Amino acid sequence: MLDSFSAEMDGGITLLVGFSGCGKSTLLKLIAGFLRPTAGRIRLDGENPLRKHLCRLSIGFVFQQLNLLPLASIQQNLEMSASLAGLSPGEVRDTTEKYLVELGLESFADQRPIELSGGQQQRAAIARALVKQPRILLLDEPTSGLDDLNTRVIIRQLARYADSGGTVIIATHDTRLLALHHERIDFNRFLPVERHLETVAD
Amino acid sequence: MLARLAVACFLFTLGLSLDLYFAGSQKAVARQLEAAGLGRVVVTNFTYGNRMQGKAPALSPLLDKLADDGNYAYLRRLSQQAQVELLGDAHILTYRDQDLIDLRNFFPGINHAGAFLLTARGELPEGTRLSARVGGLEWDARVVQTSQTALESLGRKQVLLLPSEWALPQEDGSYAEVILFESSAIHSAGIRSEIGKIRQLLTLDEISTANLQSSLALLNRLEAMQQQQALWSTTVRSIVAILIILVFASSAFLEYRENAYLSALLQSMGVPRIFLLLRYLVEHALLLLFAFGVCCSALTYLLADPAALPSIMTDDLTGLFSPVQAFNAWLWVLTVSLVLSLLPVLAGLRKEIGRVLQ
Repeated sequence: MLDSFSAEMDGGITLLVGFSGCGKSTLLKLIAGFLRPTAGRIRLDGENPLRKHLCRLSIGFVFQQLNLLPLASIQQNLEMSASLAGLSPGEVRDTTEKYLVELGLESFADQRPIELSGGQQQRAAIARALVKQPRILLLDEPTSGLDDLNTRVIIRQLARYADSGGTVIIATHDTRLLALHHERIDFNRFLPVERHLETVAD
Repeated sequence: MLARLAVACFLFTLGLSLDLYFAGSQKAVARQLEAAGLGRVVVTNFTYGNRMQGKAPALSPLLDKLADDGNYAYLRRLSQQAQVELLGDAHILTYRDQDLIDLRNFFPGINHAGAFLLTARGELPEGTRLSARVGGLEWDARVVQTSQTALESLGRKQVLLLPSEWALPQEDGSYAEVILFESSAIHSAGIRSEIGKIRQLLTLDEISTANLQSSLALLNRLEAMQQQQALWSTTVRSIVAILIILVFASSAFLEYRENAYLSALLQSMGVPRIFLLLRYLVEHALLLLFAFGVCCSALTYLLADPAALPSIMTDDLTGLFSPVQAFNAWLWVLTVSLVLSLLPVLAGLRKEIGRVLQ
C-alpha cells in the first residue's frame, strides 16, 4: 500500500492528497499506532506509538466514519475522551464546554450522534479529538460530503489549533481545504509505477 | 452470564461431590484403622507346659528390643474360659504387675490392679461391676469398654483380665503369650518398617509359632484406595478445567466479537489493552469463585450438618489425605481455567485497531 515514505512533521498543517487507495488513511493509522508497519519505523517524540499507549493520548484522531459512541450524548462523547486523556474533572468540564461552543454544538450537547446531521456529527468528532488537548491531530477526510458552511467552521477550528502550536495532518481530496496555509504531500508520488497507472486508469 | 454460572456450578458440584465421596470412603477405612489402632501389633505365641514350673516366656527377648519403638504390654491368654454374669463365656488373660501402667495405654479404663472385663457391648456402662467365675473362684470384674476390632485381636469374645498372681484352679499350664505393641511411628512407612522389624526379630529368635496381627492390610487397602482416588480426582479436575475453559473461552470470545468495535474505539482513545482484558478477568474470576463458593455451601447444607464438609475434609488420620492439598488442587483448577479462558480475548485484543475502525 505505502512504500518508501519518509517525512518529519513538527507543527503546522500537512495535507496528504492523492487518489483513493493510495495510502493516505493508512499513513494516518500508522502514525497513530493503529496499524503496525511491515517495515520501517514511526516515532512520536522518539516513542513507538504501538508500544506506548500514552502516545495515543497525545494524538487526536478523526476517523473517516467518525466512530462516535452511538449510545452516548455528544457531551458524554467529549467528556469521556477528555477523561481518558487524564484531564482533571474541572478541566474535562471546561474543555468540553469550550469545544461545544467553538464548534457550534452547544445546543446539541445532550443529543446522541444519530440525532444529528452529518455536518454536526463531523464537528462533534473533531471536538472529541480536540478535547484531549492533543499535540497531534490526525483527520481522515474531515470534510467529505459537507456543505461549505460546515467546512468553513472546521477549517477555522483547525487553523486556530495549528496556530496554537498543534500539528495537524489531514488526509483529503477536498480542494476546499487548500485554503489552509499548509504543507502538501502528494501521495501519488509514493505509489509504485504500476499501481499509480492502475489508479489513474480507474 | 447465567449460563456460564450454571455450567461452572454444575461442574464444581460434580467435582466436589466426587471429592467428598472419596474423602468419605477413605474416612470409613480410616475409622476402622483408628479402631484397630494404626500402629498396633498383636503378637501371639502358644506355649504348652506348666506355668507354675517357671518357664521363661519365649517372647521375652522381643520385649526388650521393642522397648524403644513404642508402648507394649505383655499378657497371657489361658486355655480356660470364665463365666461372666449377663455375658456368658469370656477369654481369660492375665497381666503382670509391671505391665499395669503399659496396659493403660491400650485400655484407658484400667486404673488399678484388679479384675477387668473388656467388652465392646455398648449397653454396659464403663465401670459396671459384673461377677466372673473361674472354676470355684469368683471375682467382681469392672467393665472396660473397648473397640470390637481391638477385642478381636485378643480373641473373639469379651475378655476377663486378671493379675497373674491370682492363682487359678485346674490350670493345665497351656497358655498363649500375647504382646500388645503400639508403635510410636505415625506414618505408614514407619509402621511398615516396625512390622518388618518384628517379623525379623521373630525369625532371628526362631519363634516360628508366633502369630502376628496388625493393621497392615487395612493400611494397604487405604493406601491403594487413596492412590486410585487421587488419580480419579486429578482426571475429574482436569476434565472440569477443560470444560470450564471451553465454555468460558468460547462465550468470552463471542462477547468480545460483539464488542470488538467498542474495544477498538476505547483503545483508540488511549485505554490500554490490559484494562480491557482486566474486565474479562474480573468477570471470569467472580463467576468462578462465586460458583465454587455456592457449590461448597450447597454441599455443606445438603449434608445437613454445617460442620459436615470440614469434618469429612479434615479427617487426616493417616496423613495421606490432605484437605489443604484438595483445596489447593481446586485453586489450581480455578486459576488455570481463568487464565486459559482469556486467551481468545487476548488474541482478539491484539488485532490492530486500524483494521476494526475505518
